[in-house]
Amino acid sequence: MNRRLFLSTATLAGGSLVLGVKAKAEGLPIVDINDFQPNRLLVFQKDGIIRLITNKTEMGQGTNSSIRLLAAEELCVPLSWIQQEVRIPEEEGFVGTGGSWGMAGYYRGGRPIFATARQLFINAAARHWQLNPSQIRLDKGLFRHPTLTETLSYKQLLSIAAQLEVPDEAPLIPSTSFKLIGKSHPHAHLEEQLNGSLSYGIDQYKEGMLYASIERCPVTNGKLKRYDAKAALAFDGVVEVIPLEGTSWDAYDYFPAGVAVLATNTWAAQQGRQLLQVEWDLGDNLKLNNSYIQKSFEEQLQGEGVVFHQKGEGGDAKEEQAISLTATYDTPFWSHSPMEPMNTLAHYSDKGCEIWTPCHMQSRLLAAVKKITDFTDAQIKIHTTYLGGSFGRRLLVDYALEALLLSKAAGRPVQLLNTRIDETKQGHYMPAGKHQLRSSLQNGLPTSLHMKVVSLSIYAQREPDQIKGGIDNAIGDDFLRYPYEIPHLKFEQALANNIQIPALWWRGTFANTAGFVMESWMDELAHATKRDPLDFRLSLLKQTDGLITIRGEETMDKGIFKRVLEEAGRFSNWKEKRRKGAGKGIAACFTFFESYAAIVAEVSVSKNKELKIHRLTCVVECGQVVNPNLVRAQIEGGIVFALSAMLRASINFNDGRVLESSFGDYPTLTYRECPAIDIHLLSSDRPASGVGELSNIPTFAAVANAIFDASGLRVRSLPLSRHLEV
Amino acid sequence: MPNYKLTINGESYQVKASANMPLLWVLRDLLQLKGTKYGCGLGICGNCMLMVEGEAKTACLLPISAVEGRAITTIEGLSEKNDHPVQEAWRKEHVPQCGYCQSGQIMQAAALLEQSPNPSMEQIETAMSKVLCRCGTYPRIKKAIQAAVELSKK
Repeated sequence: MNRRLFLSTATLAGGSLVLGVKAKAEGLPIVDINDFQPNRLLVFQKDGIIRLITNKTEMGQGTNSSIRLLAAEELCVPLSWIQQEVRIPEEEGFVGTGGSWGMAGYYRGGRPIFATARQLFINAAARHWQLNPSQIRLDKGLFRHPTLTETLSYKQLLSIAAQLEVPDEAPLIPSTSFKLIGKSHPHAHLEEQLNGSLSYGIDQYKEGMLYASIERCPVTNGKLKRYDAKAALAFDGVVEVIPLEGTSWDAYDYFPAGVAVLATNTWAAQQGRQLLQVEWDLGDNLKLNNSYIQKSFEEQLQGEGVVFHQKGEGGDAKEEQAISLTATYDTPFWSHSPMEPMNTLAHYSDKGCEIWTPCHMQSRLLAAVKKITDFTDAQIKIHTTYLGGSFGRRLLVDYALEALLLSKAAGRPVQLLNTRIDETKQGHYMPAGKHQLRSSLQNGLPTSLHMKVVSLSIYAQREPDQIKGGIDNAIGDDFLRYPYEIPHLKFEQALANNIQIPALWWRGTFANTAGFVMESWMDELAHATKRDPLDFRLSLLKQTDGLITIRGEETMDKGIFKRVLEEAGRFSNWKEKRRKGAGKGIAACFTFFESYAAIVAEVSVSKNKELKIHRLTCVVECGQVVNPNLVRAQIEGGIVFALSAMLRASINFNDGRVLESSFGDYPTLTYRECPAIDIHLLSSDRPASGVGELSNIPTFAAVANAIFDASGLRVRSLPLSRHLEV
Repeated sequence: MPNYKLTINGESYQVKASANMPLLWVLRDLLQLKGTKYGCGLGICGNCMLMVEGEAKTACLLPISAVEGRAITTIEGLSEKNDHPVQEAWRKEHVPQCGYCQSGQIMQAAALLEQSPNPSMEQIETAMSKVLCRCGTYPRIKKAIQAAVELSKK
């Protein structure tokens, strides 16, 4: 994830678009105007509705539902007055969601803007009554005169506020006076989700539209040789067959060569597609298979890497070693597989284009559309629909570009919908990796850690400018977020970009694999010295005064890292004696969006190696909790997401093709398999920070460490189905 | 193409479609009833779950010819005021995240209660494991199912 891009969203929220003019010093009368926009985020309407325009997209995480709370709190109005909408990228700058920074960005950067709007209206009321602003009281959206019973509301003050200057600064509502923030509120779209009326990308409809399904080249970078559409066109409902050239595999919004079938309904398009006769030039990637990938990783692991972090004498410090430990950890490719498959409705005409799409990187889409058309910003209209999940997949806009090209060729609106098989076989995947670790231990304490990671680099593929000195910080940084006191460290990386598999950010991305590796390794070290894994960790977190800055970008408080571990131990009754075959495992994490979590997993492993995951206890420190209901939902979701991946899921390759095809062979966790989840949100003086990609990170190692505790089996590769009956 | 007479949520519809066109696409693309969702088209994810004569069925595998004359209930017709006991329970427990699978979850739960007003743990697990959720709403569905059982007794 491009950290800087997402952190910048806080400042982008600022700036005044509509500036007031200076008014003369006399009581101003109320004049009827329709609406007034004092800044980029808020439009006050004369019907009393306050429109909140954010650059965040809803995909289940509920960020906008909670940004509403921030606005209502700061404006001192009932929540129901605030109506949220997504900013239009061509008109108002960056629109994109990711990096778990939405709430944190608005908590820091949005509230001061809401506060200045509140102050502006207080000034307007004061001007109307010819009072000093400090004499006005604001409560439940009503401005009160100190002596008169008369009140004014935001909607009455529009015309006056529009004539005043927006203050540069205004005091924030102190956290001790919060009425909405910190209490549970429902997801803003709950009612429509319960009766099926919420409109997702797949539900968009436009008169005269055609439905499309694309048969794409199964091997990365292959080309279309020839196709015969006769049988497809004969299928009832099929209207047209259109070839698509595809892009280079390392293009940011890569899409493969394909042949699209357009029909009067989705089913006819999918059936017609099966009747296509297509011949591909499959290219060089036919050699791509699991053993090629593993061999490639292995070679790079033995070869030279680039050191991205070193402390003391490095990880190979020579000393009188009591114990030396080494191991290799493997993580597979994973797919995002949100429930709503990729889709887009696009309408291209000579005058411009309109796109209805469930993506959350609208600014990227706008730029990409400009690249493939001659349209200006004003000719491109992007409508953001509700999103049926993403987990990173919808950061890309490949499907929207395909739909637009099809609409252009067909001369009518076209809705493209991927099948589940397309989603599984032709995704952009969480990169696989191989990790080698070596440590020496002396007097029961680790003295050195040498870690080397080999992985595909998302940046090297899609944004090579981000690679500096051969280092991909997205891969490296997550290893720097474990603050254990080990005197000698050496971390290396090698990028396996000879492997042409499109790689993409995936709920937490490398934090998941780094977390699995680092926290499993801490467990290995603890057991090697016959120490309790929690006590062992705490003994390496002694100096907790002062903050640690990671690459000058983020600040970690080791005290909080230690606290979440201690609390997880306490809430899970860590020291209680284990039943035979049962075990507990612990792991913690700190994230780039400055949240902390620790998890204790409780599992049992039978004699026949049957694994059962019983309970996960998760302790979270995410600063000020804005909406506990939705924070908890994200913590539950992160755990289920990680369990889904680690139990049985992996994407494998043979003959250049993905072997898996659907939830049948790329299984996701079911209702029956879902363990009990206990969540504890710690109170905090810090401002709100993110939770979207948090609880998934420690889940991997917590479960793996619990398996070791229960059975003595050390899991060093995923998924778990390689080792156990799951 | 043959003509079919369908009864959906108590209303009659005339549809011209191939005999093997799945009910899912008849609903979504021919009748513009978009509440029933497509997740896999293979009968695995259960996101397109609806009720035929009170029984849970995956609409993606159900040809139109098999449902003529049978009472079909979709999420749009589960209740008039969004107040079926399952919807009430889902509201109480704040179940949905992205919400995409929830039409299927709710219809599966409603069908379960219709078939077994007092379902055993095993019956609940078997029924609810047929609908997949990627957001991870299972812990809340667990609570909501219990609440729905209680509410439907009232």
